[in-house]
Amino acid sequence: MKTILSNSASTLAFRLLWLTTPVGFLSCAWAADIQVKVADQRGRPIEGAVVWVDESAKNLPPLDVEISQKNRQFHPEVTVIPVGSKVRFPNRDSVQHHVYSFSPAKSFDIPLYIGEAANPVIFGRPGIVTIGCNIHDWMSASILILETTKFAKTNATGIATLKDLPASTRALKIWHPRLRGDPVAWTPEQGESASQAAVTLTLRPAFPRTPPQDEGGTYR
Amino acid sequence: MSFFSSFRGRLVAVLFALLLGTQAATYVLISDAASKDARGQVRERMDETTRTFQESMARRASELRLGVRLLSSDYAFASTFSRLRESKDPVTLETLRSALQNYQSRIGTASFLRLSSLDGERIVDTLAASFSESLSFEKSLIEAAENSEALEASSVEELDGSLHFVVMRPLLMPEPSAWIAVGFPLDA
Repeated sequence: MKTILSNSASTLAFRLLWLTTPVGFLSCAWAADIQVKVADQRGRPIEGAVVWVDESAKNLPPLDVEISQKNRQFHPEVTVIPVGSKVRFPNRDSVQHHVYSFSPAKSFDIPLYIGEAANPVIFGRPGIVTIGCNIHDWMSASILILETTKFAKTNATGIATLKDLPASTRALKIWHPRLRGDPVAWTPEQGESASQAAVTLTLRPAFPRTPPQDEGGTYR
Repeated sequence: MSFFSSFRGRLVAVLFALLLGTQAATYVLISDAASKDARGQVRERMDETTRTFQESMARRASELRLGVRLLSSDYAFASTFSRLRESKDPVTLETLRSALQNYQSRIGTASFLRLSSLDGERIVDTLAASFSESLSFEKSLIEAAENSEALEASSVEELDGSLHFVVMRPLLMPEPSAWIAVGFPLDA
């Protein structure tokens, strides 16, 4: 009985394999992964760099995300959204915040508030938006608005993998909040592998962005 | 009979020579002591003057740094600069100049303020046109500030023949969006 079951199972597996092989072949023709390794000017891996496919996709599904304020910091520090997405800015601190952006891609300000902000902000243009708080200089976060949903962030070893891309994908862009200048473009050079990219970014030194120590207002 | 042939004469001559020698030795000793004392006093005065100058410089430099740090995170100034970036409007440019002049009077010790682009090109400053053109320190100071952790650098620069202490810091919106230079003359 055991042998019969085993034989049937192997036959079924063989048939499935036989049936799916052409599909697998076809999918290999249009799906590929690109692994991107990002390092700084000294060759050290960069964590938190965003890598995306440089395309102008239309009708992207908008997201509804939040960038909260807690312990007088923005969370998360970097948010990646497709064009047309909404961002809410709930303030979960016990002090008010005044969130603003002067970035050309989306300029706005939400004057002093606590709790939920009145309305979410819609980001209708691609670009990079840096937000701050008018009364807490160290607070800063970035929003990357893309015309694609194909993006990834680098891990601690500086590696990001973009999965299941069309085999024709050739152009990528890479950005980091401390990057000097515009996002860096990458395309494979002649003879270079299209599935492995190595990119060097020139970063500014880490600017101190920590809240001052609360001394508790004691009299000394 | 000569004067020196008598015993009395020789005695007077010896005593006179001794007196002269003692006076000369006293003069040399006193003169040396006085000279040393005078030199010491001059050195002390110079040290004191140098210390006072350094303290005065440090105080003014500290005031300058504090002032430029406040301006670098000034929301109203950043907002005006943002409007200029969008419109290139001459009225907004004049408004920025006026705001810089206001900051100059707030800082007190500052003799000029200048706003430059991230590439170091002058946007607007509080200097007269002739001085304005002769000020060209941006590139090296910006490079020094960019590579410092505090995003700040200072140096002594020549402006129209006189030396100025200059501090460079970015305008934070909240990312660095322009450069602010502020300075005062060393001989004022």
